[in-house]
Amino acid sequence: MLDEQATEEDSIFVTKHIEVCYRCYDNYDLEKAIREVVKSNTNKIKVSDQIRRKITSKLGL
Amino acid sequence: MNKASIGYNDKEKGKIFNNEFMLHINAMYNFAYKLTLDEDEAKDLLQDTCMKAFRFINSYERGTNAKAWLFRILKNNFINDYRKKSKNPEKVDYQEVENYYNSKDIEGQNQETPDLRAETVKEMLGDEITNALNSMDIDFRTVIILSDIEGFKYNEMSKILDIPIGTVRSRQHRARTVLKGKLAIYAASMGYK
Repeated sequence: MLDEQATEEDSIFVTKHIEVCYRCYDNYDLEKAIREVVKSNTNKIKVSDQIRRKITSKLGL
Repeated sequence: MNKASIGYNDKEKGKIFNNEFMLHINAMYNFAYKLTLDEDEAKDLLQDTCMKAFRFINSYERGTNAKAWLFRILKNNFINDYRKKSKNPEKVDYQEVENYYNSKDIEGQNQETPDLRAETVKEMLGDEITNALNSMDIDFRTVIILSDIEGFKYNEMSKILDIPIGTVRSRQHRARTVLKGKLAIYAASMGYK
């Protein structure tokens, strides 16, 4: 479900389950937090224009 | 991803490269950097990947999943380069690799790890997350990068990594367990509560 690849049926089942099961909710919450921090705290570096030009020039574009 | 070879002319090749491949150049560079953990090597890997992608452009079907196609080339390029640099360039036995992942003691994942809470994770700094991720085994790191950072689906990861979807899922599960363990140990050592 956290990977957005669960079926609708499975998602409904998990959603209903974590509403009543604190242990599973806790685990779900932690897994969700880890995914979020990995995504948001990873530096995204932009390729410089110089490298872009170098690549396209090598290819004759 | 398409096995059929398409004969593009030079103008079409240039158009595909500029319009479809260059869109992903930043993501490719970031993937290369996270694999090599070295700025210069990442730049070289990116350029080599672009050269190779252009050379084999006829095996890419216009308008399909360029990002997954490019990531697959980049990953293979990295593996080949890595093997060349290592002193053990023989072919990797993937079954052996998977057996290793399935073994009980992989990176201590079955050992007791300190408790970890979502609130603690949210308080962690970027460097702490990056260090934990970078210290992971390369294959584990790769599945986390592809899924959590780049948002690839299981079927795309399966094609990029050349492994069955079931193996993607199990490797990803183990990767998450290892990452969680590393973050938990780190949180405990830093006195996070």
